[in-house]
Amino acid sequence: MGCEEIRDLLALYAGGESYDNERVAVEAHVAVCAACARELDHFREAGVNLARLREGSAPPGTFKSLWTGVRSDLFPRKTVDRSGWLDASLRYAAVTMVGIAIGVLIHVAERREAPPAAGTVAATAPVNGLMPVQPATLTPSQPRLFLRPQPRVTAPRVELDGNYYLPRVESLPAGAAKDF
Amino acid sequence: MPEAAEVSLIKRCQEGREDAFRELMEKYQRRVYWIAYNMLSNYDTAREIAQEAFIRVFRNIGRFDVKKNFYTWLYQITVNLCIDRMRKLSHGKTVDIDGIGGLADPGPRDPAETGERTETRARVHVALDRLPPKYKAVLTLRDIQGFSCEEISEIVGCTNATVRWRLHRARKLFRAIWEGKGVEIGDDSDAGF
Repeated sequence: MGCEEIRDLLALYAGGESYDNERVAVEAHVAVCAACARELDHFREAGVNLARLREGSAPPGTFKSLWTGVRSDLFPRKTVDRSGWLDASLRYAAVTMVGIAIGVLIHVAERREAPPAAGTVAATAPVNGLMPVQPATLTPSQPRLFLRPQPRVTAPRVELDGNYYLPRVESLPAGAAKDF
Repeated sequence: MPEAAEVSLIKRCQEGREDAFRELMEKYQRRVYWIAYNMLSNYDTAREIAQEAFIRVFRNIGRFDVKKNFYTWLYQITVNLCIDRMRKLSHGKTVDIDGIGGLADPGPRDPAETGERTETRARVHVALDRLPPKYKAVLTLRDIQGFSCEEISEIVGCTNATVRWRLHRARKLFRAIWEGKGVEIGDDSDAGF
Protein backbone atom coordinates (compact mmCIF):
# COMPACT_ATOMS: atom_id res chain seq x y z
CA MET A 1 0.00 0.00 0.00
CA GLY A 2 1.08 3.57 -0.63
CA CYS A 3 1.18 6.43 1.87
CA GLU A 4 -2.27 7.76 0.90
CA GLU A 5 -3.94 4.42 1.53
CA ILE A 6 -2.07 3.87 4.77
CA ARG A 7 -2.92 7.37 6.07
CA ASP A 8 -6.55 6.61 5.48
CA LEU A 9 -6.22 3.69 7.89
CA LEU A 10 -4.33 5.53 10.61
CA ALA A 11 -7.35 7.07 12.33
CA LEU A 12 -8.80 3.66 13.14
CA TYR A 13 -5.42 2.07 13.74
CA ALA A 14 -4.61 4.69 16.42
CA GLY A 15 -7.77 3.73 18.28
CA GLY A 16 -7.23 -0.02 17.93
CA GLU A 17 -10.24 -0.63 15.68
CA SER A 18 -8.37 -1.86 12.59
CA TYR A 19 -8.98 -5.25 11.11
CA ASP A 20 -6.04 -7.66 11.28
CA ASN A 21 -4.97 -7.23 7.66
CA GLU A 22 -5.09 -3.42 7.96
CA ARG A 23 -3.10 -3.51 11.18
CA VAL A 24 -0.37 -5.62 9.61
CA ALA A 25 -0.17 -3.29 6.63
CA VAL A 26 0.03 -0.13 8.76
CA GLU A 27 2.70 -1.54 11.06
CA ALA A 28 4.81 -2.65 8.13
CA HIS A 29 4.48 0.75 6.47
CA VAL A 30 5.16 3.05 9.44
CA ALA A 31 8.25 1.01 10.24
CA VAL A 32 9.84 2.32 7.08
CA CYS A 33 7.97 5.62 6.47
CA ALA A 34 8.81 8.44 8.90
CA ALA A 35 6.15 10.80 7.52
CA CYS A 36 3.36 8.28 8.08
CA ALA A 37 4.81 7.42 11.50
CA ARG A 38 4.58 11.14 12.46
CA GLU A 39 1.04 11.21 11.15
CA LEU A 40 0.24 8.25 13.37
CA ASP A 41 1.77 10.05 16.36
CA HIS A 42 -0.53 13.01 15.75
CA PHE A 43 -3.58 10.75 15.87
CA ARG A 44 -2.29 9.14 19.05
CA GLU A 45 -1.70 12.55 20.62
CA ALA A 46 -5.26 13.60 19.77
CA GLY A 47 -6.49 10.40 21.42
CA VAL A 48 -4.47 11.13 24.55
CA ASN A 49 -5.92 14.64 24.74
CA LEU A 50 -9.44 13.30 24.38
CA ALA A 51 -8.77 10.78 27.13
CA ARG A 52 -7.97 13.65 29.49
CA LEU A 53 -11.65 14.37 29.68
CA ARG A 54 -12.09 11.12 31.60
CA GLU A 55 -10.58 12.90 34.56
CA GLY A 56 -12.23 15.49 36.72
CA SER A 57 -14.97 15.49 39.26
CA ALA A 58 -18.50 16.76 39.25
CA PRO A 59 -19.49 19.79 41.32
CA PRO A 60 -20.29 18.90 44.94
CA GLY A 61 -23.82 17.61 45.47
CA THR A 62 -24.37 16.80 41.80
CA PHE A 63 -25.35 13.16 42.28
CA LYS A 64 -27.37 13.79 45.40
CA SER A 65 -29.42 16.43 43.62
CA LEU A 66 -29.73 14.07 40.66
CA TRP A 67 -31.44 11.45 42.79
CA THR A 68 -33.54 14.08 44.53
CA GLY A 69 -34.79 15.35 41.17
CA VAL A 70 -35.56 11.88 39.86
CA ARG A 71 -37.29 10.82 43.07
CA SER A 72 -39.45 13.93 43.25
CA ASP A 73 -40.60 13.25 39.71
CA LEU A 74 -41.16 9.50 40.01
CA PHE A 75 -42.16 9.17 43.65
CA PRO A 76 -43.86 12.43 44.63
CA ARG A 77 -44.55 12.50 48.32
CA LYS A 78 -47.37 14.22 50.16
CA THR A 79 -46.21 16.94 52.46
CA VAL A 80 -46.27 15.63 55.97
CA ASP A 81 -47.47 18.12 58.61
CA ARG A 82 -45.40 17.41 61.67
CA SER A 83 -48.00 19.06 63.97
CA GLY A 84 -50.80 16.92 62.53
CA TRP A 85 -51.07 14.76 65.61
CA LEU A 86 -51.31 17.86 67.77
CA ASP A 87 -54.06 19.32 65.61
CA ALA A 88 -56.00 16.07 65.79
CA SER A 89 -55.65 15.90 69.55
CA LEU A 90 -56.82 19.46 69.96
CA ARG A 91 -59.75 18.81 67.68
CA TYR A 92 -60.87 15.79 69.66
CA ALA A 93 -60.41 17.66 72.94
CA ALA A 94 -62.51 20.57 71.69
CA VAL A 95 -65.31 18.25 70.57
CA THR A 96 -65.23 16.50 73.94
CA MET A 97 -65.35 19.81 75.81
CA VAL A 98 -68.30 21.04 73.78
CA GLY A 99 -70.10 17.74 74.43
CA ILE A 100 -69.54 18.00 78.16
CA ALA A 101 -70.67 21.63 78.20
CA ILE A 102 -73.88 20.77 76.35
CA GLY A 103 -74.53 17.92 78.76
CA VAL A 104 -74.06 20.17 81.80
CA LEU A 105 -76.35 22.85 80.36
CA ILE A 106 -79.09 20.32 79.62
CA HIS A 107 -78.81 18.92 83.14
CA VAL A 108 -79.02 22.36 84.77
CA ALA A 109 -81.95 23.37 82.59
CA GLU A 110 -83.86 20.22 83.48
CA ARG A 111 -83.33 20.80 87.17
CA ARG A 112 -84.56 24.39 86.98
CA GLU A 113 -87.58 23.63 84.90
CA ALA A 114 -88.77 20.73 87.09
CA PRO A 115 -92.17 21.67 88.81
CA PRO A 116 -92.72 21.04 92.50
CA ALA A 117 -93.06 17.36 92.31
CA ALA A 118 -95.97 15.43 93.67
CA GLY A 119 -93.55 13.75 95.97
CA THR A 120 -92.44 17.02 97.58
CA VAL A 121 -92.33 16.48 101.27
CA ALA A 122 -94.22 18.67 103.65
CA ALA A 123 -93.54 18.89 107.27
CA THR A 124 -96.43 18.41 109.63
CA ALA A 125 -96.76 18.51 113.32
CA PRO A 126 -94.48 16.21 115.27
CA VAL A 127 -95.93 12.92 116.36
CA ASN A 128 -94.45 11.24 119.39
CA GLY A 129 -91.29 13.24 119.15
CA LEU A 130 -90.72 12.26 115.57
CA MET A 131 -91.15 14.58 112.64
CA PRO A 132 -93.57 12.97 110.25
CA VAL A 133 -92.85 13.85 106.67
CA GLN A 134 -95.61 13.08 104.30
CA PRO A 135 -96.19 13.77 100.69
CA ALA A 136 -98.71 16.48 100.02
CA THR A 137 -101.05 13.98 98.54
CA LEU A 138 -100.81 11.02 100.76
CA THR A 139 -102.84 8.04 99.94
CA PRO A 140 -103.72 5.50 102.56
CA SER A 141 -101.82 2.79 100.81
CA GLN A 142 -98.58 4.72 100.95
CA PRO A 143 -96.42 4.06 104.00
CA ARG A 144 -95.81 6.92 106.39
CA LEU A 145 -92.41 8.36 106.46
CA PHE A 146 -90.80 9.74 109.56
CA LEU A 147 -87.78 11.81 109.96
CA ARG A 148 -85.92 10.82 113.06
CA PRO A 149 -84.32 13.87 114.65
CA GLN A 150 -80.61 13.74 114.76
CA PRO A 151 -79.18 13.21 118.27
CA ARG A 152 -77.90 16.44 119.76
CA VAL A 153 -74.21 16.63 119.85
CA THR A 154 -72.98 18.59 122.77
CA ALA A 155 -70.28 20.88 121.89
CA PRO A 156 -67.41 21.13 124.37
CA ARG A 157 -67.65 24.01 126.65
CA VAL A 158 -65.67 26.84 125.39
CA GLU A 159 -64.92 29.92 127.28
CA LEU A 160 -65.12 33.22 125.61
CA ASP A 161 -61.39 33.54 125.39
CA GLY A 162 -61.23 30.23 123.61
CA ASN A 163 -59.38 28.29 126.34
CA TYR A 164 -60.45 25.31 128.38
CA TYR A 165 -60.45 25.70 132.11
CA LEU A 166 -60.47 23.23 135.07
CA PRO A 167 -63.38 23.38 137.53
CA ARG A 168 -63.03 25.95 140.22
CA VAL A 169 -61.65 24.69 143.49
CA GLU A 170 -64.44 26.32 145.37
CA SER A 171 -66.90 24.23 143.47
CA LEU A 172 -65.49 20.95 144.85
CA PRO A 173 -67.34 19.23 147.69
CA ALA A 174 -65.87 19.78 151.05
CA GLY A 175 -63.34 17.11 152.04
CA ALA A 176 -62.71 15.97 148.54
CA ALA A 177 -59.15 15.26 147.79
CA LYS A 178 -57.49 17.87 145.85
CA ASP A 179 -55.19 15.74 143.86
CA PHE A 180 -54.55 18.19 141.16
CA MET B 1 -26.24 -11.49 28.57
CA PRO B 2 -26.93 -9.37 31.66
CA GLU B 3 -25.83 -10.76 34.98
CA ALA B 4 -28.38 -12.31 37.34
CA ALA B 5 -28.03 -9.65 40.02
CA GLU B 6 -28.81 -6.90 37.55
CA VAL B 7 -31.78 -8.81 36.15
CA SER B 8 -33.11 -9.15 39.67
CA LEU B 9 -32.58 -5.45 40.28
CA ILE B 10 -34.39 -4.50 37.08
CA LYS B 11 -37.30 -6.78 37.96
CA ARG B 12 -37.60 -5.05 41.31
CA CYS B 13 -37.64 -1.74 39.46
CA GLN B 14 -40.41 -3.07 37.24
CA GLU B 15 -42.39 -3.72 40.43
CA GLY B 16 -42.03 -0.02 41.18
CA ARG B 17 -39.74 -0.32 44.18
CA GLU B 18 -38.03 2.93 45.02
CA ASP B 19 -35.02 1.33 46.71
CA ALA B 20 -34.32 -0.66 43.54
CA PHE B 21 -34.52 2.48 41.42
CA ARG B 22 -32.05 4.18 43.67
CA GLU B 23 -29.65 1.24 43.58
CA LEU B 24 -29.81 1.04 39.80
CA MET B 25 -29.31 4.76 39.49
CA GLU B 26 -26.33 4.79 41.83
CA LYS B 27 -24.75 2.12 39.67
CA TYR B 28 -25.01 4.09 36.44
CA GLN B 29 -25.39 7.74 37.34
CA ARG B 30 -21.72 8.68 37.03
CA ARG B 31 -21.34 7.20 33.56
CA VAL B 32 -24.54 8.81 32.37
CA TYR B 33 -23.54 12.16 33.81
CA TRP B 34 -20.08 12.12 32.24
CA ILE B 35 -21.38 11.07 28.83
CA ALA B 36 -23.77 14.02 28.96
CA TYR B 37 -21.06 16.35 30.22
CA ASN B 38 -18.56 15.33 27.54
CA MET B 39 -21.15 15.83 24.86
CA LEU B 40 -22.58 19.10 26.16
CA SER B 41 -19.61 20.65 28.01
CA ASN B 42 -21.81 22.08 30.71
CA TYR B 43 -22.30 20.78 34.24
CA ASP B 44 -25.85 22.00 34.74
CA THR B 45 -27.06 20.80 31.35
CA ALA B 46 -25.36 17.46 31.92
CA ARG B 47 -27.16 17.00 35.23
CA GLU B 48 -30.43 18.01 33.63
CA ILE B 49 -29.94 15.51 30.80
CA ALA B 50 -28.91 12.74 33.21
CA GLN B 51 -32.00 13.36 35.30
CA GLU B 52 -34.24 13.32 32.24
CA ALA B 53 -32.61 10.10 31.02
CA PHE B 54 -33.25 8.29 34.30
CA ILE B 55 -36.81 9.54 34.48
CA ARG B 56 -37.49 8.27 30.96
CA VAL B 57 -35.86 4.94 31.71
CA PHE B 58 -37.78 4.39 34.92
CA ARG B 59 -41.07 5.39 33.33
CA ASN B 60 -40.58 2.84 30.57
CA ILE B 61 -38.79 0.12 32.48
CA GLY B 62 -41.96 -1.94 32.61
CA ARG B 63 -41.58 -2.57 28.88
CA PHE B 64 -37.87 -3.35 29.06
CA ASP B 65 -36.83 -6.88 28.09
CA VAL B 66 -34.50 -8.13 30.81
CA LYS B 67 -32.71 -10.37 28.33
CA LYS B 68 -31.18 -7.27 26.75
CA ASN B 69 -28.39 -5.11 28.10
CA PHE B 70 -29.80 -2.44 30.34
CA TYR B 71 -26.84 -0.12 30.09
CA THR B 72 -26.94 0.15 26.28
CA TRP B 73 -30.61 1.12 26.51
CA LEU B 74 -29.84 3.70 29.21
CA TYR B 75 -26.89 5.19 27.32
CA GLN B 76 -28.89 5.22 24.10
CA ILE B 77 -31.52 7.39 25.75
CA THR B 78 -28.80 9.61 27.18
CA VAL B 79 -27.00 10.06 23.86
CA ASN B 80 -30.24 10.77 22.02
CA LEU B 81 -31.19 13.39 24.58
CA CYS B 82 -27.75 14.96 24.21
CA ILE B 83 -27.96 15.01 20.42
CA ASP B 84 -31.39 16.62 20.59
CA ARG B 85 -30.08 19.23 23.01
CA MET B 86 -27.00 19.92 20.87
CA ARG B 87 -29.15 20.50 17.85
CA LYS B 88 -31.29 22.97 19.77
CA LEU B 89 -28.37 24.90 21.15
CA SER B 90 -25.73 26.64 19.16
CA HIS B 91 -22.43 24.89 19.70
CA GLY B 92 -20.54 27.86 21.10
CA LYS B 93 -23.07 28.45 23.84
CA THR B 94 -22.85 24.96 25.27
CA VAL B 95 -19.24 25.26 26.32
CA ASP B 96 -18.90 26.08 29.98
CA ILE B 97 -15.32 27.33 29.83
CA ASP B 98 -15.31 28.45 33.45
CA GLY B 99 -16.34 25.02 34.59
CA ILE B 100 -13.98 22.96 32.46
CA GLY B 101 -11.20 21.51 34.54
CA GLY B 102 -11.92 24.02 37.24
CA LEU B 103 -12.56 21.32 39.79
CA ALA B 104 -10.26 18.96 41.58
CA ASP B 105 -8.37 16.57 39.33
CA PRO B 106 -7.08 13.29 40.66
CA GLY B 107 -3.64 14.02 39.21
CA PRO B 108 -0.65 15.90 40.62
CA ARG B 109 -1.28 19.01 42.67
CA ASP B 110 1.44 21.07 41.00
CA PRO B 111 -0.33 24.35 40.18
CA ALA B 112 1.47 24.76 36.86
CA GLU B 113 0.54 21.27 35.74
CA THR B 114 -3.04 21.68 36.90
CA GLY B 115 -3.31 24.93 34.99
CA GLU B 116 -1.93 23.28 31.87
CA ARG B 117 -4.36 20.41 32.23
CA THR B 118 -7.22 22.81 32.67
CA GLU B 119 -6.27 24.67 29.54
CA THR B 120 -5.87 21.46 27.54
CA ARG B 121 -9.22 20.17 28.68
CA ALA B 122 -10.85 23.44 27.72
CA ARG B 123 -9.30 23.26 24.27
CA VAL B 124 -10.43 19.66 23.84
CA HIS B 125 -13.97 20.66 24.75
CA VAL B 126 -13.93 23.54 22.30
CA ALA B 127 -12.66 21.27 19.52
CA LEU B 128 -15.17 18.55 20.36
CA ASP B 129 -17.92 21.08 20.36
CA ARG B 130 -17.31 21.92 16.74
CA LEU B 131 -18.01 18.36 15.64
CA PRO B 132 -21.41 17.38 14.31
CA PRO B 133 -23.46 15.57 16.99
CA LYS B 134 -23.18 12.09 15.44
CA TYR B 135 -19.39 12.27 15.30
CA LYS B 136 -19.16 13.80 18.70
CA ALA B 137 -21.26 10.96 20.10
CA VAL B 138 -19.06 8.16 18.77
CA LEU B 139 -15.86 9.96 19.71
CA THR B 140 -17.12 10.55 23.24
CA LEU B 141 -18.27 6.98 23.65
CA ARG B 142 -15.11 5.45 22.22
CA ASP B 143 -12.18 7.70 23.10
CA ILE B 144 -13.44 9.20 26.33
CA GLN B 145 -15.77 6.58 27.77
CA GLY B 146 -13.97 3.57 26.32
CA PHE B 147 -16.90 1.59 24.91
CA SER B 148 -16.24 -1.01 22.24
CA CYS B 149 -17.46 -0.52 18.67
CA GLU B 150 -20.08 -3.23 19.22
CA GLU B 151 -21.41 -1.47 22.29
CA ILE B 152 -21.44 1.86 20.48
CA SER B 153 -23.36 0.36 17.58
CA GLU B 154 -26.04 -0.76 20.05
CA ILE B 155 -26.09 2.60 21.80
CA VAL B 156 -26.33 4.75 18.69
CA GLY B 157 -28.47 2.24 16.85
CA CYS B 158 -26.41 1.61 13.74
CA THR B 159 -24.14 -1.06 12.32
CA ASN B 160 -20.61 -1.74 13.42
CA ALA B 161 -19.33 -0.58 10.02
CA THR B 162 -21.14 2.73 10.37
CA VAL B 163 -19.60 3.25 13.78
CA ARG B 164 -16.15 2.62 12.32
CA TRP B 165 -16.83 5.08 9.52
CA ARG B 166 -18.00 7.76 11.93
CA LEU B 167 -15.01 7.17 14.15
CA HIS B 168 -12.68 7.50 11.20
CA ARG B 169 -14.32 10.78 10.15
CA ALA B 170 -14.58 12.10 13.68
CA ARG B 171 -10.90 11.55 14.45
CA LYS B 172 -9.80 13.22 11.27
CA LEU B 173 -12.04 16.20 11.92
CA PHE B 174 -11.03 16.47 15.54
CA ARG B 175 -7.35 16.37 14.64
CA ALA B 176 -7.79 19.02 12.01
CA ILE B 177 -9.64 21.29 14.45
CA TRP B 178 -7.08 20.59 17.16
CA GLU B 179 -4.22 21.53 14.91
CA GLY B 180 -6.00 24.66 13.80
CA LYS B 181 -6.34 23.62 10.20
CA GLY B 182 -9.19 25.06 8.23
CA VAL B 183 -11.74 22.32 7.96
CA GLU B 184 -15.09 22.08 6.32
CA ILE B 185 -17.33 20.48 8.91
CA GLY B 186 -20.33 20.10 6.64
CA ASP B 187 -23.38 18.14 7.71
CA ASP B 188 -23.38 15.12 9.97
CA SER B 189 -24.70 12.68 7.39
CA ASP B 190 -22.95 9.42 6.68
CA ALA B 191 -22.59 10.35 3.03
CA GLY B 192 -20.02 8.36 1.16
CA PHE B 193 -20.60 5.34 3.29
